[in-house]
Order: sequence, then structure tokens, then C-alpha cells
Amino acid sequence: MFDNVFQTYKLRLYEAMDNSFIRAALRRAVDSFRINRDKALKRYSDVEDKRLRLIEVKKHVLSNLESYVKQTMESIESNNSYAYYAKSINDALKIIDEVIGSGKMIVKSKSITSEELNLNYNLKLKGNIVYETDLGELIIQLLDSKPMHILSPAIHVPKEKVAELFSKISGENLPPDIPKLTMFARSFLRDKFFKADIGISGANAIVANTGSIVLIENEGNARYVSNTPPKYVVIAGLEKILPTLIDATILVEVVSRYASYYMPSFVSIISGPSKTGDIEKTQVLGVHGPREVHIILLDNGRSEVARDPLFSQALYCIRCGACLYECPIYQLVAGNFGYTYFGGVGAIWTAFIDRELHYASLIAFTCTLCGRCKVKCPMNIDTPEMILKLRESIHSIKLIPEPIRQIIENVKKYGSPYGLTNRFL
Amino acid sequence: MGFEMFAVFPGCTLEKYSSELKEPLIKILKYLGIEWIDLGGRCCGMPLLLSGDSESFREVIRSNTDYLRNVVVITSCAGCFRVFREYYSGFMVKHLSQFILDLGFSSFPHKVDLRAVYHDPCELIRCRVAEEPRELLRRIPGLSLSEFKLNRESSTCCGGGGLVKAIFPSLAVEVAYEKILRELPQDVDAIVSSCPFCYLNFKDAASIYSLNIKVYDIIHILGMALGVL
Ligand code: SF4
Repeated sequence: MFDNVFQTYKLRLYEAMDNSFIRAALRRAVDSFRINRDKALKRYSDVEDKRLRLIEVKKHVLSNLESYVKQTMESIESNNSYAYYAKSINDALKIIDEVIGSGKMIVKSKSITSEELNLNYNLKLKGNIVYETDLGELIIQLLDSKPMHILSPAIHVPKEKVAELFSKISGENLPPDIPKLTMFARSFLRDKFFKADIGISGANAIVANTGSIVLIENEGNARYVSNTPPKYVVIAGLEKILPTLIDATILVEVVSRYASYYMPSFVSIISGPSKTGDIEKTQVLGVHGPREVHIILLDNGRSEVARDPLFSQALYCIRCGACLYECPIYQLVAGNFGYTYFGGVGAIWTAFIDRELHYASLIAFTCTLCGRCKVKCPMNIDTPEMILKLRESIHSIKLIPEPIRQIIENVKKYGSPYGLTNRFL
Repeated sequence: MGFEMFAVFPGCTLEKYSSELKEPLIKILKYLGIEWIDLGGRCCGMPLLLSGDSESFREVIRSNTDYLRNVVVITSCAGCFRVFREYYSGFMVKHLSQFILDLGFSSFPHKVDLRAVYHDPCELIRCRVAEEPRELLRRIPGLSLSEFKLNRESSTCCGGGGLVKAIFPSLAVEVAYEKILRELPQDVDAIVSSCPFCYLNFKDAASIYSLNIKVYDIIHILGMALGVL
């Protein structure tokens, strides 16, 4: 079974590696990422202090996670919103089922946390229609594919392919002209935002003492998703909790600069449903924005990881994507080096959050341990150290790929990984 | 230095590629006229560490440590070097480049006409060994040294580490190829590294893709500059 997964995974890596579209797209992306990130870091040199402060804040929250979850839930409820704690994926899906039900039209903005739940699939299973509204995610959805980057999910799809897809749904013959394709996405989604019954998003941060959801974006779709439908549902991992709004603004600066932006176009802070008291001071919910706000805090293994002295740092990840662009393997195979979460740090998430141990093993053994991700990470996450430790855990449950098993045997038997053969290294 | 005893630890990879790597290393050491204990083709245990077999790794450390007490270990393998630095104790370790530099070689007898770029092996750079190999290369007459745009702490990986080459060999080679294609400075005829894994991986990339670039380990360059190769 594991050997099959290994072969399939290897084939996928090699296919991606030989795909000239992926290569070309990644080269462009990496080059412009590096230039823009360096520019952003230079222009805002104070980000250095801010990221160090953010690391301390994250450390503090994760070592007091339980009380922060409690505080966050209380704050959310005091904002006339609904707070839920979901221990597992099943708990989360049950809550979502109750809150959303079936036969609804849903607009959704990019959220990897929802990938953890395989949310789109589960919503459709219940007879809901889901529209991804982030341009990249929309393309991925139409392709029935899998996101390949946390910030640019369709990084591997060339414009010709997008034109073909959009032509199919529009019935028109759209040229591979990027601004025109973007305009098409705008007009295609516009009425969906207004007709939708429900908006779903993740969160970049949840503020414990105000119960606020913080959304960071450039396209503006998350604003619609959180604002136009009558019901707004947020699904966010526990690691998104930050103590105060000040901490959230620090996050905004750190994450955007390391993601190569000066400032994201839009930062939304949402603290409860839309409300007014303008007629006779009588409070009414749901004026122009949502009447109901539901916030689901997803644990799914996070509290346990938070208690681990080494692996807890995987939860510091703010998903800036810097490590991916700097990873020599990711630069060749994109999100195929990963499962729900990508790259080296993704191996840790695959092991402890997705609990897909076969994949966690293979991803861990796809890492060259070069350490460049650690050098470039704003949160100082020591991914190579974690990967080594993960390989140790994987060894103890005997999920080691065959060539590596051979190496171990050779060293033990002959004192050399090469053994008596010529095959390895 | 007087009371120091040197132990040469070529490591399992040099042993495996003996004529290509180990023999040149031995020739250099003989030329330098130092006496040393030969530790043969022992393995430092890194493959076990990288495989996650920590128990066997600790055993290898224990058995190696018996041979390594109170000596100065010289190795030209970046992998062995890092493992000795970070996981062993009780002796001093020097990378070949540090060792030769410490001997105070200010010039080399032979010219090596080469326009070379130095590639930082991840295992050395994470131990902050960046300047010693460069300094040696600079002292070699005839050799002009270039840099990758991303160098030292910012250098990028050749793909040959972490056992990836054992499990996804083509992927490892492709990383090296991509680095050459994307990062190689102009007017360079050779890549020089100071790690057998980088050397082998770049060499594979150059031969598989028939690239017009020579690949050397620093052993080879030193050997030529000392006139033993
Ligand atoms: S591991 Fe670090 S660099 Fe990578 S996405 Fe997370 S925060 Fe950014």
C-alpha cells in the first residue's frame, strides 16, 4: 500500500518537473517574488522588529491556547455572533451542516483551512452550489484541480488554458488576454455575490479580546463574501488567534511584506453582524451586511501540536509563502511537494493536522534539508529540524520508502550506505 | 599545534568514489607531509540520521567516537563535517579547506587556469564555513573566482542533499540543472564545491544535459595547484 502511494507520488513529482508550463510559471513567479519582497523589506525596514515581536506573541498564544480559545469564543458571542469550537473535522462538518444546510448558493473566498475539511466537496454533497471567488481559486475549481500555492493557487496554469476555461463557461470565444480574462471573472461573479445565501471565508487572524475576524486580500472578493450574503460563516484554525488588534496589525505588515507586497489592498476587520439603531434606537441586525455571523474555530490536532516542544513552531506559520518560493524542490514541482499544505513546513501539517502519514513520509523525504526556508522565514520556523524529527517518528512507525530502507540496512550491515552495490546516492 | 594528532576521515562517499575523490585527497595530504591516522571508509552516520534511524545513528556515533578521541579530525565531506560538529563531541573537526588554510599556505606552486564559481554546500554554510574555501581558491594562481548572485547564507541548494537523490534521483539532478541554468554567472568554465554530494550531483546534471561546464570538488583544484593531480 505504502509502496503504491510512493510510486504514485513519485510519478506526480516527475510529471510536474517535466511540465514546461509549471517551470516557466514558477521561474517568473520566483523572480518577481524575490525582487518585490526585497523591495518591500527595504522600504519597511521596521518589519524586522515587528516579526520578532510577532514570534513572541505567537509563542505566548500557543502556550496558553486553551484560555485564548475561551476568551475568543466569549468575545465573539458578545458581538452577537455565534462561536463554535470544532475538535475534529467531523465536528466541524456537523456544525457546518447545521449552519448551512442544503440547497444553498454559496460564495467562498480562498481558505486552506477549508481544504483541510474538503469543504467544497462536502457542501456539494449536501446539494449546495459553491463558487470560489478568488480568481486563482475559481480557475482551480473550474479545472477541478488542486491549488498549487497558498497565495497563488493557479500558479501552474497558463493564460491560454484560462481562456479556454472561461470561453467554455461564457459560451464566447475569449482571447488569452489577461486583463480581459480578469474582467470576465469580475462580471461572471458579480451577481453570484449578491444572489448568494451564504458567504464562507477563512481568516488571517482572529482577535481574542475583540472577537474580530481579520481578512487580508488584494482582489476584494473576501469583502463581498463577508458582506453581501445574509449569512457569513468563518472557518479558522486555532493558530489564527492573536491577543489584540494591535497584534493583528503587526501580522498584516509582516505577512504582506514577506509575501512581497507593500500593503495588501484590503484589510477587513469584522466584529459581528451588520447592525443599526437608527430608527428609534431600536437595534436591528442585517442592514447592508450579514445578519448572522458564525465563526468556527477548528482544532483538528492543533492543541496537541501546540503542546509539542519542537513541532509547535509549525503553528507559527503565517502563510506568507516566502519559504515556498525559496525552496529548490517547490520551484520545480509546485504544490505537488505537499498535500493540503505545501513545502517543508507542509510536511509537518500533513503529519499532524491532515494525519496523512504516507504522504507526510514522502514529503519529508522530498526535502533536501538545505535550510533555505528557515533562513527566509519571518517566523524563524526551523523546518529542517522538524523534518529530521518527523523522519524519526516516521521511522519508528516503519513508513520509510524502500530506497531509504536499503540505505539503513547497508549502513548497519556493511558500515556504508552504498553497501556492496552501486545504486544509491 | 604540536601535540595534535590528525585523523583523516574521508567518509563513506569518498570511499565509494575512491579514484575520483579519495585518492586525490590522500595525495594532497601526502604532499603536505603530515602524519595522520587513516580512518578508512567509515561512515559518520549521517545517512542514518537523515533516514530517521536515530538509534542506529547513536550506535555509529559511539563506535566512531572510540577512534576519534583527542584528535583533530580532517574531512573534506561537508556532510561528515556538519555531523561531527553538531552530533559528536570530544574532538576537533576541520574541513579540508580550513585545515589547509590553517597550515598557512599563502601561495600554490602550480597555476590552475580556470574561471570558477564557488558553490556553497548547504552543510558547510549552515556551519558558517564560507570564507575558507574561497580564500584558498583566491590564493591559487591563474584561477579567477566568481560568485553566484545568491551566495553564502543566501546560497541555493544543488539538490544533492537530504537523501533526496537516493529516493528521487531525477529530481535531485533537476535541481542542479535548474541552478546552473538560472544562476550560473557569465564567463565561467567550472563550478567548484567543497562537498562530494554537490560535486556528484552537479556532475550528473552536467553530463545528463551535456552542459558545457566543468565540475570540481575543491580537492581537485587543490590537487592541481599543488601539482599532485
Ligand atoms: S513557514 Fe515561514 S516562510 Fe513559510 S509560509 Fe510559514 S511563515 Fe511564511
